[in-house]
Amino acid sequence: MANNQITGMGIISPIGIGVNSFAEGLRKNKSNFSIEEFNIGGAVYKYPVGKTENFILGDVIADLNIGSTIMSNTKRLRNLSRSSIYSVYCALEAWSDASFDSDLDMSRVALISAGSNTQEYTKFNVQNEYREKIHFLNPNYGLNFFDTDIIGVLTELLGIRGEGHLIGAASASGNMAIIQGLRLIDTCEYDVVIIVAPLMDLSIFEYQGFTALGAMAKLSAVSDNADICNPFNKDHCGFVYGQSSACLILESEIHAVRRGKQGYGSVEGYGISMDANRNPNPTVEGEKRAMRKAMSDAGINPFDIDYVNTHGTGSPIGDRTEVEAILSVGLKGVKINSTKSLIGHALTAAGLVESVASLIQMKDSFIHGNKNLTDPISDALDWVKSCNCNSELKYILNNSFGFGGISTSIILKK
Amino acid sequence: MESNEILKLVITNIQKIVPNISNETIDRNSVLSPLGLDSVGRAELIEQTLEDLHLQVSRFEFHAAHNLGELADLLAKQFKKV
Repeated sequence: MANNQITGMGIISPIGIGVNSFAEGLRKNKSNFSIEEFNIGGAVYKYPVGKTENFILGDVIADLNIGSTIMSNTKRLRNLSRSSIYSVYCALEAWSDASFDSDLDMSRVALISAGSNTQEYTKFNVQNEYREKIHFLNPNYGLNFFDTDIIGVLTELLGIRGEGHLIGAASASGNMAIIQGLRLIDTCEYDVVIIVAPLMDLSIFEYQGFTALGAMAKLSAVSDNADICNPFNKDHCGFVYGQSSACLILESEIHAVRRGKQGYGSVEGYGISMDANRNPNPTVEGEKRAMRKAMSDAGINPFDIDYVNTHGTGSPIGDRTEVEAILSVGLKGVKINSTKSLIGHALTAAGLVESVASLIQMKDSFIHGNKNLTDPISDALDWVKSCNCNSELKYILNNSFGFGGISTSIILKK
Repeated sequence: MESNEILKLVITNIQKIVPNISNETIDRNSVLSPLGLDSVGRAELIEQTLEDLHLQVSRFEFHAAHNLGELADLLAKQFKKV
């Protein structure tokens, strides 16, 4: 039995800013796919994107219960990347949600940020602005090009005195950060671990790099942008990047009980496996090992799993591999969807974003639909195509896989 | 450009770096730390002002300034050299 509770959540996604708005978007199967356009050297480059719009930090924090000092210090923040600004909101929403007492021992609070190289968009813009005048470069660049800038920003805002660092595991970073948080709670080193996944903010180089690899969906494949993201459908043609960020607050069970805080659920187990393969291609064996380890760690059997939140990116090889791995661990017939079909692939933030999606579905007893799934690649799984609104979910398996042969699975329990 | 004009430029840049700072609280005798400029803010102020003046000089000697007046004087001295 787990000794942790998830007592706070925060999220920004293309279908909603804040947990309530995101939950509404999931229930209504909303999506917001469009085109990101770059004009470089007179040439126009276009890529599909799940876009987050109308986000202004100063406006959206107004309703949060974070106290006047944190509120005013947040409004004074300057020289932050877009990636960091998104994570500041998510962390503050989760902090507000967790509603800690004022006597919280901040030396027993830790902070983990999920993902590396998350600020490429801002860095690209700064580098472009100063390319012809490097001697006048804004000195803040020397501070905030580090992905750890968000660690400094959030520990200062919240007064955190425990440890703080990043966990990088490509597109499995979100799950890996949750696993690291779980370890810090399990060893009793900390009462509270804040796990934040900054927006992985792509510049044209990352868009084009993924496209050149053949991993990202191409706009030419569809006539309507709304159809571009179609995980597990027979005409899937690659992932669509989505702009999301999220935060979870993991708290020791004893600490949460002592202050009378009811959590959303617990992280009951996890599995990690490496393929010993540097390349982007996943393997059934690796994914199978991660899922098996997670179920074993949680002390449950495949028939206990009520629903699988897949990695499900829309990559033909990735989708086929995951389906085969899910079937091979005894999950035939399980209810299944891909949150990426609604919001796209948040890359380093995906595991955390999809854990928030899973916990919302667990709390509100529903499973969101899998958009654009008209002709699934397998009939052996129970694909949820439109919102399944009466689903009691006790155990959820959440998969996140990354380039370089990284497979992670976590089990969430109500 | 004379020292007093450069001082105006320095004050304008301080107002960009420290939002909501009152104009009346800044003059030649003002010291940077109490105005809310930490070490990064001070470096940003010097870099921005040098860029505005199109000055490419060593940043080292500006650390000797004790207040805004002295900073403006040092910048004016460099400006006259070019």
